[in-house]
Amino acid sequence: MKNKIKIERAILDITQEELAHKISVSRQTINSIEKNRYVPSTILALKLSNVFKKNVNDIFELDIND
Amino acid sequence: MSLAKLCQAEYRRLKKIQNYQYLLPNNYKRIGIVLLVIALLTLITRKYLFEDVDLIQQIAKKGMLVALLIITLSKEKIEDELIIKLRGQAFAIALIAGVVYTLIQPLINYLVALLIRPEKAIYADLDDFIILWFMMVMYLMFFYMFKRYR
Repeated sequence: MKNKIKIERAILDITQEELAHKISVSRQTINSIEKNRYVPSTILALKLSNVFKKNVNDIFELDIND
Repeated sequence: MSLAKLCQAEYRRLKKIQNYQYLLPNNYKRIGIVLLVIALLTLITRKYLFEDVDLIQQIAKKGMLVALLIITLSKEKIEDELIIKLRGQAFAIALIAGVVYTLIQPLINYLVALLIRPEKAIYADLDDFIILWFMMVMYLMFFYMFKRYR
């Protein structure tokens, strides 16, 4: 699964640490998601969509391997 | 009570067990580390400081297991879903490693003894302390390694 968290973060001009704090996870978790090493749960995806004020489908998209 | 009601009651009980968080608050980790250091120091110095060496050794070993369990079950500062996933993976690896170690290590010990002193070679299973210690150390090792490279 691919995601646009880094881009969305740049649009809001917030750091990984700030984003992590907003959705109550660690900075390393945000880093893992951004680097596609970890696929977040639906709850976390919805929390991210709330922060970025965008649909989950606009932030995450399926890969060929999925 | 009908079968459906019995099943529902069983399901509710299972859900209760499933939803319970079997973890201690983060500050328990420090308590566990202090207890582990005390148990280790007691094991090292038992011959010089105590008369009843066997009793002290038994107590220190049990203390070490409790300390390792406390460290194992202590939450991280931020216990998020990725940490929970890594915890589960580390538990699974520790369990598999524990079973393999329990089955293979006595054989290795026996074969080595056969090569070195064949007359004294006896097949003996590992004791419970070694197995539990090994499993918890494996868990901690893998968990912190996963955490580092998450």
